[in-house]
Amino acid sequence: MPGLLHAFVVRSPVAHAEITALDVSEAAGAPGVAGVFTAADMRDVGPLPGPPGLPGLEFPLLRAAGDRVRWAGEPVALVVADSAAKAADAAELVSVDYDTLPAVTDPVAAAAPGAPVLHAAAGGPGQFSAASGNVCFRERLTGGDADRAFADAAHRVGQRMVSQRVAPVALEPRGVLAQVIDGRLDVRIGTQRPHGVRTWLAGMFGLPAEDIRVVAGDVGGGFGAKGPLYPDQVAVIAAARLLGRPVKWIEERGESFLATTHGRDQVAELEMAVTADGRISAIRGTVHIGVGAYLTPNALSTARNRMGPLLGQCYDIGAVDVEIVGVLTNATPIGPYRGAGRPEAAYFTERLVDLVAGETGLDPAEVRRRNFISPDQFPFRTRTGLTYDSGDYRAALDKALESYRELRRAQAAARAAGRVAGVGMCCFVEPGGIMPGVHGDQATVTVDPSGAVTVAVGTSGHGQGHQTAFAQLAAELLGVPFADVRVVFGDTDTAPFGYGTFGSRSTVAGGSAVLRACEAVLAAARRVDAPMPLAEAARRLGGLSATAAADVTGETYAFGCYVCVVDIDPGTGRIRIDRVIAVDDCGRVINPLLLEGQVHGGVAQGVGQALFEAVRYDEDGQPLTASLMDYAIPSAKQVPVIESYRLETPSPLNPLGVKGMGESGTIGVTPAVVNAVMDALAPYGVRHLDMPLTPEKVWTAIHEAASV
Amino acid sequence: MAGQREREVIVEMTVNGSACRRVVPARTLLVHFLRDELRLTGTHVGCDTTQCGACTVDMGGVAVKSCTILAAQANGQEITTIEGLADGPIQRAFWAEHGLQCGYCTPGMVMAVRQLLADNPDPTETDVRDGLAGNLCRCTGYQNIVAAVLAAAAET
Amino acid sequence: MYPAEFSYLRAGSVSEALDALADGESDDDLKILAGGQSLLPMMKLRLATPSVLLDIGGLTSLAAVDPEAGRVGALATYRSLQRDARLAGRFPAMADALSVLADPQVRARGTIGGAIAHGDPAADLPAVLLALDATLTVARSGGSRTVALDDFLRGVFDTDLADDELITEVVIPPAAAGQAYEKFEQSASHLPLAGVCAAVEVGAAGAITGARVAVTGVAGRVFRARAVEAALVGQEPVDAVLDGAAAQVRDGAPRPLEDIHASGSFRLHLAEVLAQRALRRALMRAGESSLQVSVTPSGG
Repeated sequence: MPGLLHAFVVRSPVAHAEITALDVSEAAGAPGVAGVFTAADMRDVGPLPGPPGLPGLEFPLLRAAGDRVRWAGEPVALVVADSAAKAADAAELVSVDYDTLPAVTDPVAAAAPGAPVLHAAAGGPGQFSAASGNVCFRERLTGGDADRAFADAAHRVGQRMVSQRVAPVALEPRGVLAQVIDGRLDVRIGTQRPHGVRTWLAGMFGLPAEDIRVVAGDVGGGFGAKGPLYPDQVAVIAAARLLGRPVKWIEERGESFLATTHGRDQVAELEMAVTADGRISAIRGTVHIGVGAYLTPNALSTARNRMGPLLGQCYDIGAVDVEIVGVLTNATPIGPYRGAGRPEAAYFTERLVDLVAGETGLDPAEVRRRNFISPDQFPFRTRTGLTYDSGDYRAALDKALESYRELRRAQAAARAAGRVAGVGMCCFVEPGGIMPGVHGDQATVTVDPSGAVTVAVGTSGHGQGHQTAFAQLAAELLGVPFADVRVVFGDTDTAPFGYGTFGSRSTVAGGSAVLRACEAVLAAARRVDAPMPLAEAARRLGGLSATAAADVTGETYAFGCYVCVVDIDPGTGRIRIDRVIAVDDCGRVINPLLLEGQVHGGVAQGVGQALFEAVRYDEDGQPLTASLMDYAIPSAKQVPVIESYRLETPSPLNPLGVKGMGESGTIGVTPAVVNAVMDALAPYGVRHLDMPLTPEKVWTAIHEAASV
Repeated sequence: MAGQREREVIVEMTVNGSACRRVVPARTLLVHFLRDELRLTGTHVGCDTTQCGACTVDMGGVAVKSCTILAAQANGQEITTIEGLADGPIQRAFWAEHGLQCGYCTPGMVMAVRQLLADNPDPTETDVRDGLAGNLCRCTGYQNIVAAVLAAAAET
Repeated sequence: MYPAEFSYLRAGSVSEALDALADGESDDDLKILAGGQSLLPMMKLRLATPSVLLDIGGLTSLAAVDPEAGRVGALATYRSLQRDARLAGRFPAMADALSVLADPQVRARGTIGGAIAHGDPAADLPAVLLALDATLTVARSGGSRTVALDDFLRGVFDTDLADDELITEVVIPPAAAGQAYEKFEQSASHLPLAGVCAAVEVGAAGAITGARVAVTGVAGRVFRARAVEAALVGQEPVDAVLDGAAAQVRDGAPRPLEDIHASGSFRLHLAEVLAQRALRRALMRAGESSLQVSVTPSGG
């Protein structure tokens, strides 16, 4: 590409500091450098969309002298040169003086009085002020009479649990290539939300949306983290416009650990009230979420929409009283990461359910059975304001536990032989198919006069196999061969409007739109004078095309039950997962192979959180795990074999009867693994261990118990 | 001595059967040479610690990580990248077994699998998982990749 | 991801390389490039910024391997060593280590000499080489010297190698079959949090007549666990003896490493467990059939 320039982001090496001096002159004069940009150059660019109702916490693009940096990795300046290597060289010449401040990365510590405060008082009615310190939102979720339930309870079972901060680590790091072509801003960007990016850029640069083209291309994984638009990317786009030349930026892996949003980071102190016959009558407590240095819209919705309201999981719990506290910390901002609140809720609840089993002496499966919402209760309105569309939780549990007796027998035999063996389970629900805006995703189905069919959708797949699933759908609906159907998405110039792919939404939203568009095409085809195959009708009419929107009326609730069997080496604490039995019900299934692929990938990430992964900082907020040498994403030897089964309870909420399930693996397996490990350690009197369940942690628990 | 005190080097190598000759900065990594000089963008960069294997190519008949080789070290060598592979049992098996999702790790996986099967034409599942120690995938959980390797082994 | 700039030299012969090293002492910060699997990762992160790289990768004479004589050229790659059945037969502990270190692609480029020169305290092969009493041939312009590996390795990325020197060969004396390497991996890097190599000789009467136990990953350098060795020699190879000896691993050990992956005390505990397991496997290989060996040790 002629004139192509390359960018390198200069980032804060410290977690919390005032910038007292910033001098880019030496860098600007370095060989090959076309420009060095700081906050002053971004003045004409509007702020990144923040969470509604919480001004004053905008995510800045770059910094200037006099500004404060709030996490190690925050973008400070942007160097643009004629090669990536020269940009990296020049970046070392950018001179920044940091006056460091104390830092805090733990959410509970950051919410406590006396913690270093990240943001000065900001506007916003009552929701955020300096008096709140680092607490940027506080919401109490109530329903029913929790106080009464606890007063009447036969048992109260409580536990402090941590769903630790993790990094998504898509194999392709983030990047962007921006240029102006014929007066239009052309942006190639690894994104899950091309139309979203176009809308946000239009707002930030004051351009009409039609003057912007966003192309996702092949995206090397996202897992949620490529949903947001990031300040470094916007700075690169701004630089391209200012320089009048194409500018490309690709994140380095170490950089991505700092700069790409993280997931989870929630600390729960929750308890359940339980009746004498093992019925969970209430859940209450507090959950803190460490949202990072700046509050992204997704951090808010993760805690407020996806974690809190889902604490009921599959159970008919009569009362809830949970306070959700969002806390700013000197850490990478939290963004969407596979599950985004749902894995946390499932983990907190399912751990408590196992502790209830321990307290009451009931089998963990029995506690679940006694508390399930039953099939005749759907649509089920939870105490937290959600409506579950359909489900049969007992069927999923029964399927997963078909060999339960054998598993327990095998466990007893293993224990008799001196081994440390455990069986654990997790029942969960997974909301999916969300429609973030008022209008549904669209699909355009076009039949050429030759009979070739093109399906263009507003979702934006990046490995989920939409090219196959939507082609199958269209082929079946239109009555044409699968091979004649081509699916396109990801380019705002050719794909009709959509919200992108995240949150297990695409089969519901995209699929429904495809269905409606196919119906419209078939209706249009009936204009010919006699019934005939669609291809022939298209030939006679000179082609057919229709655009339709998804008319989904609500979120779907997939569900499942996962069972894990583990064996622990008492000499080293190493955990071996011997079996993962995954039962998923996501309504009607378009392509079982694609579904299984999602389960496998989700399970691998869920096992990662349970056993291997954790983002860690030292007491100064310095990242300790900004490398694959220290942050363990599982390898082929570390992921167990997954036995995947399907049930089908259709959703009444969309014409296909499908439910989103892309995040089920991550939601279902983590609690199952932890419950299995805690089951294995029960003879040692160990009540709870926080993830990741490292060998040292497990061995120490065994050793300390054994030596008592 | 060759390359006396030069920050640039002349590199000559055969890539996918075609000879090439370029002058590049000595610090040019082979992966960047392949991608940026030769426009062979099927070889990917996924990490900076030589772990992920997305950059795996064949050099001199053996699978190596091109991110941890200088283009200068590849002088005189024969390189095969994913673009240079004819369609074969490995690619077919990856497709049939759904052994890829986003596809970013796939070229490196295929190159590593090619080596694995050349060294061990009849691997067990354990052999396969060991043989993939140098390749990370975040999408598939490896299960279908393993199935693809075993299927490819069975076909050949 | 982009190393700092450097000048590149390629040696056409060993003497050319040694001359360049001798010249390099006076000015530039010159580093030897062999397989590059340790040096290049550091340069990509700009943790190492040599101004001159001397590529010795073309010196094929330094890659020769003579298993009968126990002579391994410094430029022999891990892969070539792994595929040499004669070497595996003579030094099964080396085969153990080669099968668990790094990954297939890195093993295709990484060299035995490069690993030793790098001095990483968490490396697998040095534990085996130390337990097998390996020596190094180190050359410089005008001569060479022999140095025991134990004397060569000093600390974290710190060796006895002078700026004008090049390791040319690793020499491993003949060893009995009773040897094994056990490893416990750090789950991200797959480097050893602890690795133990045990090499034992058993006499005609059935007692242990010789024992060498080397530990890697635990401390700033690989070390011989001499207290463990002393507790084995002259003893019957029974469970109580093996476990009792393994428990001595802390005795005289250098201060262990501590990091986010494991505490020092856990590393030492792992060393004890791995010593139990390495000794058992070594003895099995020694053909000690009277020992009732179980896969999991009695202790821990």
